[in-house]
Amino acid sequence: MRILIVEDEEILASRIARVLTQERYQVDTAFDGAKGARLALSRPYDLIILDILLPKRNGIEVLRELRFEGVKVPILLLTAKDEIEDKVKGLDSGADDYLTKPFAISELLARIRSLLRRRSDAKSASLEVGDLVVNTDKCEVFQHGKDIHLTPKEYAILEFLLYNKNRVVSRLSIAEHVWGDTMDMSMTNFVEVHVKNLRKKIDGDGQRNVVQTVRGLGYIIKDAP
Amino acid sequence: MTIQWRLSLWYMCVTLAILVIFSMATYLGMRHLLYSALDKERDLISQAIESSYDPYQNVFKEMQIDPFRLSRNLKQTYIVVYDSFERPIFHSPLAEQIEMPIPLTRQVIEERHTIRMTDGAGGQTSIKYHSTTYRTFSRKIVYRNKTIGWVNMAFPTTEIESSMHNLLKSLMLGILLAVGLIGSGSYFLTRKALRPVAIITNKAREISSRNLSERLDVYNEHDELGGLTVVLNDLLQRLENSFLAQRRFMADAAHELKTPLAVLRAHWEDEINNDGISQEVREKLVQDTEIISRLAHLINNMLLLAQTEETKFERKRLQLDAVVKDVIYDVQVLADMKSQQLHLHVTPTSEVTGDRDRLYQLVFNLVENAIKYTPEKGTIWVHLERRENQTRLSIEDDGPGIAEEHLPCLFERFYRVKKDRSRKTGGSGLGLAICKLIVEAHHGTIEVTSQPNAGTRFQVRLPLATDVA
Repeated sequence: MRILIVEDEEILASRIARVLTQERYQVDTAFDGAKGARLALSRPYDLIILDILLPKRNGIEVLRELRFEGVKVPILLLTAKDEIEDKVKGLDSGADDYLTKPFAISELLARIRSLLRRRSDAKSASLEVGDLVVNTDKCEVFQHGKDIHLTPKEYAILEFLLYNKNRVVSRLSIAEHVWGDTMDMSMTNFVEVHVKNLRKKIDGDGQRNVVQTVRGLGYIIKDAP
Repeated sequence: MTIQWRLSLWYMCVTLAILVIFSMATYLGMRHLLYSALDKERDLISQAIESSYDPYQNVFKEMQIDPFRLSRNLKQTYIVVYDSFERPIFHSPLAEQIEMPIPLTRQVIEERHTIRMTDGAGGQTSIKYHSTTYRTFSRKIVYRNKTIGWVNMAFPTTEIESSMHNLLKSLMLGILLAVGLIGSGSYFLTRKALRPVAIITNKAREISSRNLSERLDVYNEHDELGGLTVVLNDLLQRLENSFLAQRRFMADAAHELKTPLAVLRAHWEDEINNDGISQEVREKLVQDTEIISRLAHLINNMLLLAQTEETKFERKRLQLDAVVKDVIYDVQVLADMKSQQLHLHVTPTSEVTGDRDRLYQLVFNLVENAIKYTPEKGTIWVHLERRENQTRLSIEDDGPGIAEEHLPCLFERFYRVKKDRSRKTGGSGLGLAICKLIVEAHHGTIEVTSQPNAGTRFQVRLPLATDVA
């Protein structure tokens, strides 16, 4: 999987690039709009991460040109302004998703996986860990072929942790992901309760420990050994 | 007093003064005219008497005294003629009935070719007799330096005085009428003249920070009020410019702050998954990311408060009871942690028009506040009901309450009731300011009532969704 990052803040761009490389993506970076557009048009990417405020050419312009030229790659917009018009303008111009700065790395990874998955066939739209199968299309969870009923928030937490498999995800990042714009700092408390309820449903009387607590940090779902 | 009243009053005063001067002149002139006519009559009568004098016999030829034809109303005129021995020799009909004590004059003021005449002492005097006022004259008749007799006359002035009285009455009535008419006329005229000012005032009052881009209508820019309107519009333009500049500054500043925060956050979150660092450092990094998130949250809230545009809010029909239930479901955890009772009473179907996320934020802030400031094992009641065309949401607790002096400032930005508990209980002090902003953006009202040691109650009223909208 090859990803292009177009972001003028070089430290941020290289940080994202590092994380994505760790996650075994191939990454190119561009620090301005003109170079970003040139790269995007000349090489086949699977995903483009595009900042809106860029030197030389802004993100919306680049986005429109790419769509005009028939580039159908999923594009994730990064924006520091959380104004509705900006989001609407971005999505109208052909972006697939947007993320408001400052975002959590885990949120970025989840969005990237979700976008890449959405593009591929529906058959592969499932995540697996141990005997647990999660269908991200229908938001269904199966264990040994048996349907497990989760509340929307429990499901959102499970999916988020699976998208970030083998990475520690903080309670704060989970709260931000689940509650989005309505997130309040005190909501980190809610995460514990929902995770507790989630465990009751998927751990099967303590036989398994799918969602592990990392003390002082958050939670992690690891590949079964 | 309004300008309109002041102007009308001034008009009235000025017209009153002019009319009084005019009426006084008329009155005095008229009086002078009437009395001159009387004096003329007196002269004619005395001339007739003089010409009846026969110097050879030294007598007045009695029957030649025929003043009756000279005067219009001689029957009411008092005439007595005396001879040189001061004996009365002629009485007019009136003088035969009454006698008036008119002293004979000793003074000669006028000399004709045959007769000199004088007026009574001090000229004319008046005598009141049987409730009738008479104007009296006494004339000495002198022939060749020899006094030959006197004529005493008295004219009733009742007629003149009553005419003068009538004139005065009608003048006063006229003045009153004129002043009344001019007063009301000027009231309507000034009102007409000042109407554009009232229009401008009302319009300018409607313009607030929410609709600064509106302008006053200019009807005629060449008249005085048109000039004023142009100046006001100019002022509004400058106000709007600085307002927009401030908002742009806020947005730019927030953007500039957010990008470095994003860098920091990416940095630390990446390090958290680095196996090479100790558990201790990792925990610190997680705490730091929380601080970054708190900062980002604060910036977002400030941005929300700085941009009071309604465009930031979505306007969709939604069930408020679903939002409230959602919040209660979420915050139940917080209440459980403090062993608090959380009661919810919802009457179904309260449909409002608005932004779901913002309304969630509103209800969440209010309920979370109640939980935060109510001690353990306390009780919180959340009521949602429909009254006429309103939805009423009330959040009530039996906590320590808020002292009365804090209540008016509660919705101010960064206001804290107790300075010491600021960090421990968390929050930025913007929560209630944001609640107020959200409520107002949905055309509702929010109010708080509280009794120390008894509890606090927040009440939000929102208009129900209308089919027109």
